[in-house]
Amino acid sequence: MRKTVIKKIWPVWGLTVLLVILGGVFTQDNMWWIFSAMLLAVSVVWTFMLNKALKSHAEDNPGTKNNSFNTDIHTQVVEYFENLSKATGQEIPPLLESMEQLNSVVLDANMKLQQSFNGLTENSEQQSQLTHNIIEQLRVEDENKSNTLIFDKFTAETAQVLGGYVDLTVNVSDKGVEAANKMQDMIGHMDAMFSLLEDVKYIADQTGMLALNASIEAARAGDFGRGFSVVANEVRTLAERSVSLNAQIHENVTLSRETLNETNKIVGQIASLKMNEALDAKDNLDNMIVELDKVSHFVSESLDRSSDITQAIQSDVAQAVMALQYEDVASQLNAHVKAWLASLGGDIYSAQSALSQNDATVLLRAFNEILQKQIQNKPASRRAVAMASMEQGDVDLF
Amino acid sequence: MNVETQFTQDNKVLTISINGDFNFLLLNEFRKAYNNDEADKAEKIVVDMRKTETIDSSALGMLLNMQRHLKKSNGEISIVNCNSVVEKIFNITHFEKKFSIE
Repeated sequence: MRKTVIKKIWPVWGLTVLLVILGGVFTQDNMWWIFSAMLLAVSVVWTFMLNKALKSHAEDNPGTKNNSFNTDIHTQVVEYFENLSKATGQEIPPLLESMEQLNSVVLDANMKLQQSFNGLTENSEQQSQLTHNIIEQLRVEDENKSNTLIFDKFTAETAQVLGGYVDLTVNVSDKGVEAANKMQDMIGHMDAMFSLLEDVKYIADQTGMLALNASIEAARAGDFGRGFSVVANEVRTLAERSVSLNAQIHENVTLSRETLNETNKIVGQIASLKMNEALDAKDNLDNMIVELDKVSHFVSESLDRSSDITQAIQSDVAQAVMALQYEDVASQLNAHVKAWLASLGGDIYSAQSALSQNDATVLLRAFNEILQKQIQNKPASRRAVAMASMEQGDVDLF
Repeated sequence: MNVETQFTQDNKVLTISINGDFNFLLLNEFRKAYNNDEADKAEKIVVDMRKTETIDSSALGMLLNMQRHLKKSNGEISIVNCNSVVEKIFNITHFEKKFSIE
């Protein structure tokens, strides 16, 4: 206000000084100069006094006229704050309720997730146990008391059985051939017996002939030869019996030879086993060993991998369970938001109370103080800290 | 002849060759080849199976009987020129431990 007055006076001052100088130049009169100077001095004094008066007036009456609130605006502001108070009064309680609901939903979901993760861990452990049991079933102690898979033992035993079968086959053939050779020897001996029997038969025949000749000679000798004739007849009878016995022996030996030949054939059949079956069995066994070895390796590897996977699952679940502790952060955030909403309600109430102040400067200062207090509470920065901690997965925080 | 014998000039090595199938039918013929004084005196016996087609278990028995009869120790009797099937049979019966199989 004061500056405005001075600003308006300065052009008048300039014009006056210019006129004084021009008048002096044109009149060339000393009196003009003296008069003008006196007039100027009075004007300067007057101006300063006016200025000073304006200044003191401004300091003494700050609230009057220009500083005072327009009644209409004041009414509008009061109404605005009343409405604001009503609106927040209506909105904040449901908001707080929603926050509470959110909190309980998060809590509930979290609990269920914890349960399901616990179930997952339990099932994974059971699965691991089952796998372990399978290993135990498949593993057996071998001859060297070391653990081996049952397939290996099975193939080893099968190989042993096949080996036993082959050895038995060879042994039977060996003994069979030996028996057959001995029978061939016996057949040779029998053939020799036939030759001997021929000799015996020849001797018996000759003896019979001799006995016949002796009888003839005895008959020719008459009574003297009668006794000799009896002896000759006896000898002939013996010779005939000898031939008959010889024939019986020959027959029996022939039968024995035939029987021996039959036996030889049977022994031959026993000793003659085709080795193809053993060979096929050996080939099959070799293939089976290769296949079972593959299976054995596969099972071993799979069991190892299964064990690794179980561990990985448990590690993942542990991490998930750890991550689930965000619930704490959520609760903290919830509490912050609730506190902030409550403080906002308080602020609006305080602002409304401040409206009783009629002075604009005081009112604005009151508003500013309320805002300052709110800023110092720093709910936003606190929230940011909590969020950052959760992203880092800082376990210590929980 | 299914079984042929041949001595070296110094009579130290007897080679017995078997033609066709080596089975029980050759029992006597094969036995005659080694069951004599000349064979007893020979230092080395070679069973040549170049012309042998098949063998059965009786052939194995005959070879073992020959070894026992000649009182030859393991490896002193050689079995040569076996086909793959015959070789397999000698393999599964572990004959390479008793004979020198070439």
